[in-house]
Amino acid sequence: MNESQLIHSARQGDGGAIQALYGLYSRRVYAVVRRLAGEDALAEDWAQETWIRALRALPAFRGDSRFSTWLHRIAVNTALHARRSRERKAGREEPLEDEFVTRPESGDALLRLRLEQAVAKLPEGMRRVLVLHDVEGYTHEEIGEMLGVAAGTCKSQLFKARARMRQMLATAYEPEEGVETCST
Amino acid sequence: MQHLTLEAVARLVDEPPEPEESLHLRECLACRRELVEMRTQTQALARLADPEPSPFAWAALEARLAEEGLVRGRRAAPREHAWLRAAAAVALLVMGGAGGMAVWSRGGGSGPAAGPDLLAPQVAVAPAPEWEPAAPAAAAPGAPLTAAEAVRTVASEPATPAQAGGGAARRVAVADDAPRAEQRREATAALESAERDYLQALARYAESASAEDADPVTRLATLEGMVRATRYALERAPEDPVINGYHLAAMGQRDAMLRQIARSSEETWY
Repeated sequence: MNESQLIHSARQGDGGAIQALYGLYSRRVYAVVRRLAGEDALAEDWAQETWIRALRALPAFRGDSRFSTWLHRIAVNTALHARRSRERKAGREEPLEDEFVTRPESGDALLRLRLEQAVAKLPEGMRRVLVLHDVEGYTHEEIGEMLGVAAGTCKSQLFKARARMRQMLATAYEPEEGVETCST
Repeated sequence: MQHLTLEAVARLVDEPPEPEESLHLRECLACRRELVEMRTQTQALARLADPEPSPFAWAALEARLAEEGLVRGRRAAPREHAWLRAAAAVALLVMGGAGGMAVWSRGGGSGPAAGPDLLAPQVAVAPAPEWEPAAPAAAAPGAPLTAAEAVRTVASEPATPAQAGGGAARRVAVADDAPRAEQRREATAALESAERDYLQALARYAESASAEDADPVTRLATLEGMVRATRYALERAPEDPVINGYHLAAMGQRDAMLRQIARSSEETWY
């Protein structure tokens, strides 16, 4: 069964087709919500919510975009919506946790792990923009539309986020002899 | 000389420099280096591998789909899910004091009381089956369980909110309104039956296995405990390369074991 057939069958509530679509895209869905959530428990919740929303909306999916693109957008919107709801309930932005010391070692698994950890430690607003732009590849205009902010605001947040990431990842660097360090 | 700010360097990853920034970059090795590092960081973010969802996430979603009426004629639970859930439950119970705690101790922990709650997550990811109470396990509270006792315990005790982990699983497990509970009972009836059969088979299997046997359950148990123990240690010492190394190795081995289990579950084995 190809993807179109799977989508057609999933619309009818075919459990096998739904599971097949889940098998194809669960990792991508989980990845984006995990990075936006910054923690596993929330991400599991949001990933499940994404699939529920997507299956509810599936009858309206006309195939104007690729299914993966459509689903990815639902995942992002679900995460953003859930985060806003949490913030409204909490009445405040979540506090920035203490930064940690690390040292980038290019190309290895340790760097990837620490990048993920640093992303998770970013303040919420910065993390949203960084993940959507630098990890997921959305444009500033698209992100601005999703978040309801101007593209310029999005850019500003992105540059702050990158700078914060750089600070976190570079803290352990000792300046080499004769080399000045950049100050902010 | 005024260096570029980190935010300005971050902007230069995507945008051309202003004339004065160009001039500064030509003259300042430190800022040029910073720009290279910033670009490297940005490129590394774009190449990050997607993290794997929990292997138990589908079971939780499947139960929710049934609750929401989004799936027609819920299929019998795939055997691999029953296998994985039970294996994980046994793994987490059996793990209590074995490999994970050994690793945790090496990481500077003070013992099980200070460590992560190894029993809490994942055990209740199954959609809260309401098993018939059976004879309770004879082990005293706090005493280590053998694999067979662990299996009997899992098979005889209903999942409780306290056992349920966070997120989606908890929502499924603690939903308490009557219509939802009824729907859940209907939707999971086949699963309960299959899992009960499976757990009985697994109990026999565990009883017959010696401690030295490198069976999948024992190995998964050890690996799962190591992952949890190292993750807990990593949260407290994220810069420690030894703990990082243990954590990555444990995760890699655990994932490989889960894939192996999933593959083997497609065969008739009990």
